[in-house]
Amino acid sequence: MVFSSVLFIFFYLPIVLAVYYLVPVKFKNLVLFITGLIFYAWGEPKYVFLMLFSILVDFICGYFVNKYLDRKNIARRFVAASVCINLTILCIFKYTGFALNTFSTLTGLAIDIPVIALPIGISFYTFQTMSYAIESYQGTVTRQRNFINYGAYVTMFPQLIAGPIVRYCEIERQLASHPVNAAMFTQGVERFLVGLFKKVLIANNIALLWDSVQAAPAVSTLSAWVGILAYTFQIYFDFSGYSDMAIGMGKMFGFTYPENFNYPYLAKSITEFWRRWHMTLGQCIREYLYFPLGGNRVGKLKLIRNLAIVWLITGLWHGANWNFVLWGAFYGVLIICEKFFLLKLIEKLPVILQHAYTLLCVIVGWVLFTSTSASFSWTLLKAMFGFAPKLDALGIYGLKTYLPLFIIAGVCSTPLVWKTLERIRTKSVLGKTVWAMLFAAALFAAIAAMVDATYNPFLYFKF
Amino acid sequence: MSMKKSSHAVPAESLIISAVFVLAVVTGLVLFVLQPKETFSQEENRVLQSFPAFDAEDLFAGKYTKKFETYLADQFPARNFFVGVNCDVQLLLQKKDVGGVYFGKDNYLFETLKQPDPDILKSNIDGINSLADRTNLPVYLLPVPSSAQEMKESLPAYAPSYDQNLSVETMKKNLSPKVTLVNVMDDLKPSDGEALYFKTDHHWNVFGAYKGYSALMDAMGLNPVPKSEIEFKKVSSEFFGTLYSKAGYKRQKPDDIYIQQFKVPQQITSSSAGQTADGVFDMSKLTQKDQYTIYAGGNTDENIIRNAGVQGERVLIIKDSYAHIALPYLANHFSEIRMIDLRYFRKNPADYIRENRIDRIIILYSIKQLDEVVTLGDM
Repeated sequence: MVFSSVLFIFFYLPIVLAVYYLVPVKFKNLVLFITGLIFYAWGEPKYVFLMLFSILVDFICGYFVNKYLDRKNIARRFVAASVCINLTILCIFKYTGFALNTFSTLTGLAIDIPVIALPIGISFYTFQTMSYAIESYQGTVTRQRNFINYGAYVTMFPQLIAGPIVRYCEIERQLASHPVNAAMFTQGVERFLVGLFKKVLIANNIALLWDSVQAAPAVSTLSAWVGILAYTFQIYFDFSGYSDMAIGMGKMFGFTYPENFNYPYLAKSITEFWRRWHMTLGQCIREYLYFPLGGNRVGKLKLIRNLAIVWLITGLWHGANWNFVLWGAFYGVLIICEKFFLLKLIEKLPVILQHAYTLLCVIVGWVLFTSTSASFSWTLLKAMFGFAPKLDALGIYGLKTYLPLFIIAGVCSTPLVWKTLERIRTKSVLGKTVWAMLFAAALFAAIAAMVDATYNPFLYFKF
Repeated sequence: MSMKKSSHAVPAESLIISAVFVLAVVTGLVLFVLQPKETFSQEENRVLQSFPAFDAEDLFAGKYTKKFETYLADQFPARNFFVGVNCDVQLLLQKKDVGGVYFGKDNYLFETLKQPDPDILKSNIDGINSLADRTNLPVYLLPVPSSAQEMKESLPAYAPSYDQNLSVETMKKNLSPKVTLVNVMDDLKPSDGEALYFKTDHHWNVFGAYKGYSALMDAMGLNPVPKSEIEFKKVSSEFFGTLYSKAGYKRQKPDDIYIQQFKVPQQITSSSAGQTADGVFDMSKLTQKDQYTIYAGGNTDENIIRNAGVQGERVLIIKDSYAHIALPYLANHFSEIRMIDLRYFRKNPADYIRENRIDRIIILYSIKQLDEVVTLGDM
């Protein structure tokens, strides 16, 4: 079930909210647990049991880690068990096909490669379930005696399938008590609407341009740039819009989730970009991988090794394919260079060039990220850097007909619009009215777009 | 409720927006439950999903939830209205195409032409060649270009559009010598201000079809009925075609529909699915949304048109719906026309040709169909 659908907004969300507000406080987490399972089972009627298994394993492991906290060698075994079981499940369901494919390509052996569908959100919830055992061992959280509360933490539908990744330590106290007041609810609605606007009206629309460039038989330098810029905006507004909706709904249920994006395209270096992009993933990787490896309090060679591991894994986390490994490696090399010398050089450049360097790297990164076909990525890169005709109709037409959307996407990638909106609502009655009208108009247009997405004229055949 | 207690701390505009959101959602939900459910969408020309009966097997296969989502989407209140709103938003954003339709000059809507997979056309050509080989009858292929191809200057500026001449070149190169290619690429270019295509529909109109018919008659060595002998009678000025539906643009002006009436009286009957009627038009279709179906009554597997007034040949037409509007012209020349649509026709075409003592075969398709759908591949 996606948030930006008629089913979710007009049926699932209001019904769950109504039930949630009506039940007594002690049942609220149970409602979250059950509705989360229903939400997940709606799209994955079989894999919901896999998720339940993960939850159970980590609840038990976490319990014993806490129990034996004073006997570290026993506690360590339970952490190891949790991590091993979770990662084994993740590897089986996410990486089997990829590993076997690679093996058969390398050895030339013909293997029957099983087709395993990827369970939705497994990369996200695996981090969450594991975090409880790990953080218990680190002593940052205490024992959760209530299975319902723990289950609600993992399955809470706003953040279940696409983040933000909420670590257990961030929500432990909220799980015990999360009252909602009117201020929280209205903030939640506003945040949700902002996310809906970003996802439905910007991301989904600009995606059409990228689709048409991908489908084109040949690209020019212009159409390659127009296409990949469209994708650059699409992925940001899609993902951050989804996070906004999650954070907004979290508030409607009385939770404060961590932020996930902080205007990443305004970064002045790649190091900074990754502090602003998908922030909750960065925190998980840092806490659970980079620091245990020794972080940066190690020698130069070991630091390079640590960063290499971190970025290859970050790449692989995004998808089981070589292009994601390459994408991770690309960022690994950039970050290592920045750490050792590049950052000092860049900081001497004019700010505009710092932005240009960062955006160029990010955009080239998206070329690697977006296509599992190396030949397509290569064609696109060549075209972007001049090895193609300069202009074509597709590029000119795309730029012309999407210019207003590009401008909207561009300014919405900066705090400018959002800060201005906040300012006008506090200024005057007129400002408040304008602000409210804009939100209402965005909601109206978003509903129209969601309904239209299901409009499916069937014009040639009638059975 | 706890909400009320702290409401004094919440700014009024926030309360208003939350109220608007809650109201919109609840209204949608309540209207959905209360309104009568539709079974068929005229706009989309398809059956809408009705409430799916529960099925445990479907549920675990993930099919039930999909059906349920389709049901909610298909039956959503004021669906057509919202489709129109979304189209208006797109146009407001200066988009020149919506839903695979270009918004051209003079209220023309054009179906966008995408680069096709070349194997599809090859497979269709192979099918035509093998039919010509097996039957040993003269075969005429009339591929009809799309309006976007013939009216390039009316497309939005720089709109990318696949050049259907490339497909015609492929046909020229690969068709067997037994097949006569009737090339109408030049004939259907706009000239002397006469519209040859509908503005709201992907088909050619009676005047475009006349050009195609004339070229076909020339190729077959027959004399077309002169235009002066035909009266074009307007039967509707309220035709909203398929492109109108695809674009979802609710302020589009409708097209006119004409039928062809011949000054020489005719004795034509047409039969389909065991029903025989006079003439080739099904005027009852004027009450439906897709009025193009008055021509030959719309798509069916087989139509038989007999003209008692001529001692002519028996021809087979293998076609898509572009042939329907040309049928009234063609009926003047043959004692029997058998028109089949391979998407629905389940008999073996070669046997059918033998059994019905066919003299010549006409294959009439839009180039888009030949490019994009394998329909002739397994003849």
